[in-house]
Amino acid sequence: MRFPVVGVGVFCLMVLDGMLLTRSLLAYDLMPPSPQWDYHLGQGLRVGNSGLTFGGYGSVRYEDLRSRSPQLTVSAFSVFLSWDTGTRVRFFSEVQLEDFTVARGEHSFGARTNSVELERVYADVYLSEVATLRLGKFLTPIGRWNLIHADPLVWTTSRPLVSLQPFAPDTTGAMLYGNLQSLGKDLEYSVYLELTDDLDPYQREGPFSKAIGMHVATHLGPTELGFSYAHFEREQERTEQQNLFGLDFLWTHQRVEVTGEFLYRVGTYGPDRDEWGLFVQGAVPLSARLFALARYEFFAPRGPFPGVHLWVPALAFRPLPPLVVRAEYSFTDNNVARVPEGFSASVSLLF
Amino acid sequence: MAIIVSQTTSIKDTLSTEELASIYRRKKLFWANGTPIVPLNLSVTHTLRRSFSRTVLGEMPEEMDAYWSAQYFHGISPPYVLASEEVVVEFVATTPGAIGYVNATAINSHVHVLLYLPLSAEKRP
Repeated sequence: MRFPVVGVGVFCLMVLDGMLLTRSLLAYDLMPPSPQWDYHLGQGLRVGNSGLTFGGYGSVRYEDLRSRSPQLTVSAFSVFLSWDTGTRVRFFSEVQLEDFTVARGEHSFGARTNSVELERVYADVYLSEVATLRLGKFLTPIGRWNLIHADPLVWTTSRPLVSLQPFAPDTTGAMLYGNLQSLGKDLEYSVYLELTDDLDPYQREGPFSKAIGMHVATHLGPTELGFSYAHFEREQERTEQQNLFGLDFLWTHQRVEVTGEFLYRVGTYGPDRDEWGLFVQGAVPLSARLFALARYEFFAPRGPFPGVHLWVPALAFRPLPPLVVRAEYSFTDNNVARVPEGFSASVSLLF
Repeated sequence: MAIIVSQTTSIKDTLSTEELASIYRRKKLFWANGTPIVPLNLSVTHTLRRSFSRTVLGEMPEEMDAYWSAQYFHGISPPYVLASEEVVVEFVATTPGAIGYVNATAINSHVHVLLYLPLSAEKRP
C-alpha cells in the first residue's frame, strides 16, 4: 500500500517542480559590504562593514525505525559566527544544539534537550600562497562526508557509518592546509595534529587523545580523488595506537553525482581490533529539483562480529538551494550491529 | 572578454585559467605579494557572467549552488556581484587586489588587462 502512495507523491512533486521556474532561485549573489546590515538566505547576515557574518542551519527529522517509537526531533540547530575583513587572519565558530526531541511515540508533545556544543572554533592565519595555518577545533579532514556533514549539504537524512565511527569527527589542535596550484600542481592538502581535548567537554564521540594525520586531493578529469591517513589514540582506548587509511572520490556529470569512501582502521591488538567499511552513493535528477538517491554501504565493526550490508533508497527535493526535503528507507541484512533500519524524513535549511 | 585588475596591483603579467578558476572558487585568497584578492562577478543573468562561468569554471552559475553552500559551511562567501561592467571597471580601478571581467571595449587606462578570454555562447535546449 505504501509504494503507490510514494509513487503518487513523487509524481506530484515532479508536476510542482515543472510548474516552478526552470532556473533555480539563486541566493548567492552578494553585493560588496556596505554600512547597512545585509541578509541573504543561505549566506547569513552580514553586519555592515565589520566583517562579521552570522548564519547557520537547522534540521527537523521524523523517524519511524524498527524496534523504536516514531520520533520527531530537531536533529540539529547550528549558529555560525565568522569574521573576515580580508586580512591575513580570519575567525570561524559554530555552536550546535543537538537532538532536541519534540515528540516521541503516542505521547503528547514535550521537549527534552540533549546538549549545546561548541562544534568548531578556529582562527585561520594566511602564511603564503600555498599554506594557511588553522588553530582551534575543526573538522577532521578524513574522507569527504565529514567535511560537509551538515544536514542541508548532504543528500540523505542518515549518515554512512564509515564516515563517522572509525575516527573522531573533530580535532583540536593545528592544521596546515592549502592548494599547490601556484606551484603548478593540482593538489589540495591538509596536515593536522591533535594538541588538546579541552574544547570537547562531553567527549560523546570518542575524541582523539593524540592524533596526527593528512589528507590530499586531486582531479582526474571529472573525478575528484582523495587519500587520508591518520595515526591516533582515542580517549576511551588510550593504550591502543591506531592507523587509518582512506580513499574517497566524487564524480559528477550533468547533475548526476556518484561519490564514495573506503576506510580501514588498523588496531594494535590484532585483526579483531580492526574496523573497516565503504559506501557508494549515486544521485540522479528526476526533474529540475527532485533527485533519486541510492546508497550501498558495508561496515565491519571491530570485534568478532560479521560485517553488515546497508541499502538506502531515497528522494531529495531542493525547492531552493539552501533548502532540502528528504525521505528514505534504510534496510540491512545480518544486522548484528543493530544499525537503525526503517523510514526517516527531514527538512533542512541553511539560513 | 578581458580579465582586469587595478593598475596599482603588483602581480605577474598574466594568469592561467586554472589560477583564475581557483580565485573565483575562493580557493586562492591572496596575491603573491599578500594583497587580499577581491574577485567580482556580474549578475547571474548577464551574458558575460554565464560565458565566464562556463569557460573558466566549467559550470553555469546555478550549477554551483551546492558548492557555495558547502563553502558557507566553512565561512567562505562567494565573489561579490556588481550591477554593470562600468561599475566593475570603476571598482577594480579603485580597489587594490580586485579582479573582474568585462567586454574588451569597456576597459580604460585605470585598469590592467591580465588575460583575454573568448566569449562562448550558451547552448539552448
